[in-house]
Amino acid sequence: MAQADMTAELEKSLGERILVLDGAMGTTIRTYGLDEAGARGERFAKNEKDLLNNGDLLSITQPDVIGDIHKRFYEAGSDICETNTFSATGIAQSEFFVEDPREKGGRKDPEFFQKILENDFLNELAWEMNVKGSQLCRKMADDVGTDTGVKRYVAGAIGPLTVSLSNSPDAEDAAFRVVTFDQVLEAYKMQVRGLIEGGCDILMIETIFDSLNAKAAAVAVQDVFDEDKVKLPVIISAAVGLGGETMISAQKVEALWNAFAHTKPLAIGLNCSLGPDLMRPFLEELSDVAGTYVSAYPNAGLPNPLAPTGFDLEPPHMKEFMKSFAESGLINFAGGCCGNTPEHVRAIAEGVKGVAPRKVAGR
Amino acid sequence: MKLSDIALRLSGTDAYNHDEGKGFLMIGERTNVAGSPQFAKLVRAGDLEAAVEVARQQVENGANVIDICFDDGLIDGKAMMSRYLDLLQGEPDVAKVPIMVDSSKWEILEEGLKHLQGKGIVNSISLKEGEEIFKKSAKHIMKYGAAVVVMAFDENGQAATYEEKIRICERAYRILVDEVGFNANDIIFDPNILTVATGIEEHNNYALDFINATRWIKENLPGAKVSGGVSNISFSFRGNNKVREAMHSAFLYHATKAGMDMGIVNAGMLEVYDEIPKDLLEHVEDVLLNKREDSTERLLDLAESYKGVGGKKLEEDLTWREESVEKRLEHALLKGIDRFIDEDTEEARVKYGRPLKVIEGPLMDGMGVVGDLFGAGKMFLPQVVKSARVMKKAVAWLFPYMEAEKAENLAGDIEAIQEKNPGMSYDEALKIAERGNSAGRFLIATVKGDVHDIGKNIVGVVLSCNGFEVTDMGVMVSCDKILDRAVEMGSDVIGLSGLITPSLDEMVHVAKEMERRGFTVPLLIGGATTSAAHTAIKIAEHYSGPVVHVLDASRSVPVTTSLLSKDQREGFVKELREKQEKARQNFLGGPKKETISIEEARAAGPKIDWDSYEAPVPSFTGTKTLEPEISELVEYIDWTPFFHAWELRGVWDREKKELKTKNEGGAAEAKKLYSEACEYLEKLVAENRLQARGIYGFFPANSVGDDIAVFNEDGSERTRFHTIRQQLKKTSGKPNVALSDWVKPVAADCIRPAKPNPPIKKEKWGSLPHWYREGATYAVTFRLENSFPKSTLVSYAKEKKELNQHLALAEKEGDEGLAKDLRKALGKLYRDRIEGVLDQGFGECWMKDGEIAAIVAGAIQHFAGERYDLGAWCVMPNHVHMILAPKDGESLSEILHSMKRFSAKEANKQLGREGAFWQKESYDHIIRSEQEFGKQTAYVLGNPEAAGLDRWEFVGEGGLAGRIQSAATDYIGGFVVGIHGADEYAKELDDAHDPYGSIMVKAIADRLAEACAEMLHHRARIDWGYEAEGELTKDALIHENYQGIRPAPGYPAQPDHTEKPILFELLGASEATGVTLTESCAMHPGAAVSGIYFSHPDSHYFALSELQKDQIEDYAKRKGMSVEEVEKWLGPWLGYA
Repeated sequence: MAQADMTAELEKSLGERILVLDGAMGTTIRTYGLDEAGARGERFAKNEKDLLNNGDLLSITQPDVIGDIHKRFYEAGSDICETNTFSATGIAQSEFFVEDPREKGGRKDPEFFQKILENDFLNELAWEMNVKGSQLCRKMADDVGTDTGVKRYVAGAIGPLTVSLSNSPDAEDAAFRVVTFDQVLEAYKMQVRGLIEGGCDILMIETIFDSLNAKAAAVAVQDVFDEDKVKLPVIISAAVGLGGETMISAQKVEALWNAFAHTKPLAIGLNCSLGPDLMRPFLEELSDVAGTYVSAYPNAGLPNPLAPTGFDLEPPHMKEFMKSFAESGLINFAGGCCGNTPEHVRAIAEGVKGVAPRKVAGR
Repeated sequence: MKLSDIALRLSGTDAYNHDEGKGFLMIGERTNVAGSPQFAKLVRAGDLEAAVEVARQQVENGANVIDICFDDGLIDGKAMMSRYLDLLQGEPDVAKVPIMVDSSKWEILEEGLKHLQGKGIVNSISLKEGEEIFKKSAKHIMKYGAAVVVMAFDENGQAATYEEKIRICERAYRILVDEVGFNANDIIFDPNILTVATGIEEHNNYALDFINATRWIKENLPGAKVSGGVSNISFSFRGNNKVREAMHSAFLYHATKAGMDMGIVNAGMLEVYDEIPKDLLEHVEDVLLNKREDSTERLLDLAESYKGVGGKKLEEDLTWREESVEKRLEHALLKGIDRFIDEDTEEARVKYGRPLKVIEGPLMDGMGVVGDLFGAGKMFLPQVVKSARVMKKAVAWLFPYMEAEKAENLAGDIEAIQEKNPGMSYDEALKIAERGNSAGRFLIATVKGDVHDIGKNIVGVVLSCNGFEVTDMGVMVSCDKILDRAVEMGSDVIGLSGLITPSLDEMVHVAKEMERRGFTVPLLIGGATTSAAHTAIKIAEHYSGPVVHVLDASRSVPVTTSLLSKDQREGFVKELREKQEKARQNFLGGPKKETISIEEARAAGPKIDWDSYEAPVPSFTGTKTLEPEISELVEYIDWTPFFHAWELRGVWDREKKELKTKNEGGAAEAKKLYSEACEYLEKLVAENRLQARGIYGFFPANSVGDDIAVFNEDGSERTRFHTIRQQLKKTSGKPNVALSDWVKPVAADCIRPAKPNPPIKKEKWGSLPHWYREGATYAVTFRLENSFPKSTLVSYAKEKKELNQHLALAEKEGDEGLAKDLRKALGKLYRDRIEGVLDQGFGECWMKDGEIAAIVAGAIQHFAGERYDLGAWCVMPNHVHMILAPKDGESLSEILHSMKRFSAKEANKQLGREGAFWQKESYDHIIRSEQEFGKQTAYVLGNPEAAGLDRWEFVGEGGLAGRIQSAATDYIGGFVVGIHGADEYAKELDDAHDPYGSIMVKAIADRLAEACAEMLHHRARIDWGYEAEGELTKDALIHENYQGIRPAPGYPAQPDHTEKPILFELLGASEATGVTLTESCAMHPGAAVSGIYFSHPDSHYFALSELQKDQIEDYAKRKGMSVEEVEKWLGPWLGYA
């Protein structure tokens, strides 16, 4: 069921303090040591492809694990947790449930994805993932909120998809796209509706590699708002590379702000891809131009398969970095992406506690 | 209000914020089929490549925004809008600017919006079809986030006059801002620029109406912008560019002063305002500002004189065309410009002779620059892809030439193949020959469990642009499927991609499977969580083929090219392996790898069939010294490391005398360096500045566990080397080796020869000193309490005390000769004199009683084989002799103590007495040689008879007799070489401020020391009898393609430097060669090499890492060092904190 629009309430809090986001879902799931059979559960036991890394499926097959992760993040101090729905679209799920035509010398193209969009199994699965994912997080938010007396919020996570609207995988044809804007839009609309149905407070278009994909997500959100007569705050968050550009479509941060300012997001920010140190210059740039609140949830450093957590930075490091972001007046939301455990989030929450939030003109 | 608050914020991949401070916003109009017949022609003909080039030129010429329009009856506008915008997204120089989607059809505008990642402009909407449609369109545009051009039209048509213009604009503004909620900054009014000087009077004020309307809008409609199609104004002067350009400039001059923000202008049709001829400007402004009744006529008159005068054309910047062909190719790759690529490639082909040289040379270099910039975050993915596409064009140009070359090769190859295989058909031969000539088949897949493949797709595109046959298997592909397909298609390279952490394990799995299935093709690893370090440490060790981490798509090309290039592969792989080895070394301080206990490691050692092994026998044992001439050594020099010392990577080709390297400059530099080095060498030889001195030798030896015992000719142990075993868990099935594995072990049923090393431990319990040594065999005597007359004991004790005092003094003063004599005298005191007294049968002699003797004999044999190996023994009436070797970990004193306590208790019970039975002390003596063992055995066995005991039954041979090894069954060798004089010469050069010469001399001396070691090893192998003189070429020697190894203490296979003193002492190396060891076991002079020779055909170099505490403790015990000391020497190799 759709929640009421919390924008005003959130803005009031944002005027007072920096709100804390959660840490990584994917890398935290891995610490639970699930195996293939556990990830499949009975329901998907016979699926042809492996499902262990289909994290979103765990909302259905291992709801306790996902719920526990949300709970731990809320208890560590997250004001807002993201639902486990990063890849909960028929398009993304098709990778796990439909034979890749390339294995037999075929290719993925809009014709292929049209069939995906018309695939009942995938549609029902995506819907269920979003609703359940959203409900799981909602329950923990309400539980921990009641226990601690500090209200918690649920952000419905809308991930970047495994296909790009900006890039051609065909060496012969730079104009070829595997999927169309309308197809992506349709997939995202279903996700948005499912998330709202499950009771999220915020919609979060995040880990943006490709701004055109994200634009389709933003249009989907607006369409759903218009058609269903609901409205929720939206956060936009991009994953940028070493030059401060969205990794696939190469859009720089100010260009990104310009392209998404019309959605009047509650916040715009950066996440994933970089550690806080490398992210900082681009966050400064964004903070400088963005006419709204700014969020940041970097990775715990760069991926380092040789480090115990798979990432370089430990909780005290993250605390220092995020504290310095806060003290420099760059952010209104602080959290962590890949490699950030509940301990990292606890440290981040301590780091930004009591530091004045970034000021937004006119708010 | 700040300017930035009313800025029109636009973007492509870059932001563009327009406010009045920015001046005039230029909209490129050449990509508009209505505005540019040339563009229309290209699009209609389907030449989109050229059409994209038009867009690029617009941006290059300074357009801030480009207007794109396909409103043409012969063009499917919607499909073309989609396709063209997608193409532009792949064109980074264009994609950076905001795009204006221009059409009169809503469906085309909508399609355009679906292809803009940035914030563009929709051109245009109006009130022409009423408020409802206007609002709906505006809302839709707002949802996509674009600015909008609003034409000054309403239900009644176009606004021509000032009043109409401002009325319609105000109405539209209020609807957009108040009703739709449109951001006022994003509203751009086009109040219609209409043609003046048409001869119709109503038209005369059109320019002024526009200018005034602009001013009004800017003053009354906050945030709104004004734009217009400028060339309309001069339409009546078609064909007279000079006049038109002047009109455009003058109009813009006045309109922008009134606040016009932007306009559609052909930048090539614009004169600089200040450069318009005075009279022309005056006439033009009269027209535009409607100053005179007759201004049109006057301008028409004047225009006649400008007819045919060519307007100025804006040229693109082509200065880069003047550079060298290499620079031009680089520029083209960097900028993604393919316009000149064919001619430039052709020029390079002619210059370089062979098409492949162009690819491996300037093209790869250019891509290298692209990779560097990308790595530094200065280029972005789309640009890299664009570069790759240009590369593809270049390769395509070269393709027919390569085909021709290939056909030529192919014909030759087929002939050769058929000659070799007379029965083979042409088709079969062709197949084989083609295989040999294939450009390279690349199989790429995202591993099982992972669905990410955008990055992988880009690698696929970039590679196929470079002439590789790419087969992309998609995502979530299982290991078996990948490898089966690789076999099926005969893939030359396999690329694995993955983004999430678990994919890393899957990659390791694929590497293991490739090893198991006998693959040899290179394996490429890529994806966000992969790293060069992880690849080196976790993946490469499981696969013996090259395993290369590819940082990003741009690097995939040079890497693959190098791996598949006959010339470059060897050097590339060698360098890769060195780097990966280094990474592994660096990682040793990091998290732990899986290790096994030393017992498990020993059990996992190599299984060598020693029974059927005939160890080669050297032609001599002992040492030989050698002082070769420097000139003799030159041919043994391996130059490759010399260049590495100068940071020049590659492999030295001895034949061609050139460094094989990807880096052309490096090769030239190496050539120079080599000739200089040769000059230095000549000088060093001529001036006789350097002397080489070496010693090598062979010694009988056998392995004893992980040690190598070196024996004297008489079979006694001379010294002992200690080796260390690999403890990393190996899943490849390869053994955990130690150097000792390649020396034949002492016979399994033999007692171990006593170790002279570590030194004997002297303990004192009771009044006698006892010498202990791990693994020693002892001769032991103990006697009954009352077996010795007290008086004799006292006098012996006094004598012993004196001898010991003298001995202590002699040892302190280092008088080894005297000490030796004193020890002899002490030995004699016991052995001969005490023994004599005992045999006289002094005291009670309880063991004369057979029952008591049987108790004692039983005690002696009780733990034999369990706690000790027992040799000859006898129970005499008042004393006992035995030879025994305590087992590992057992202590002699405890064995004897328990033996004596048990027998005393039992004997006393039998005798019905109490009190001391045995004398407290035992006499023990280490047996040091086979001879001594024989002598002692004979004595013990013969003792009863010699003492006159007839048919005495309490004597036995034990199990030890006869099992001691009579002689060593294998050999090891050792060597030390040094080059003298280099340090001194280098210092002279340093003092003369010639650091270059100094480094050169030292680097050469290092090479000579290695060369000398190589030469000695060469001789040693011949002396050892398993290699014939002249059997191997110099190249084979340099590449170490021979049997046997010469590992040096302190290097990876035995990192413990403290083994060096053992080697030096064994060889007597310091005296013979002048090479000495410092306190830290470094060799002086620096240009010196030492090592141990192994002859076994399986012997090979290896590296140790992750040594565990259990082995270190064992090793410390074996070496007689403390664990702390061993840990200090082996610090970097330890696998524990």
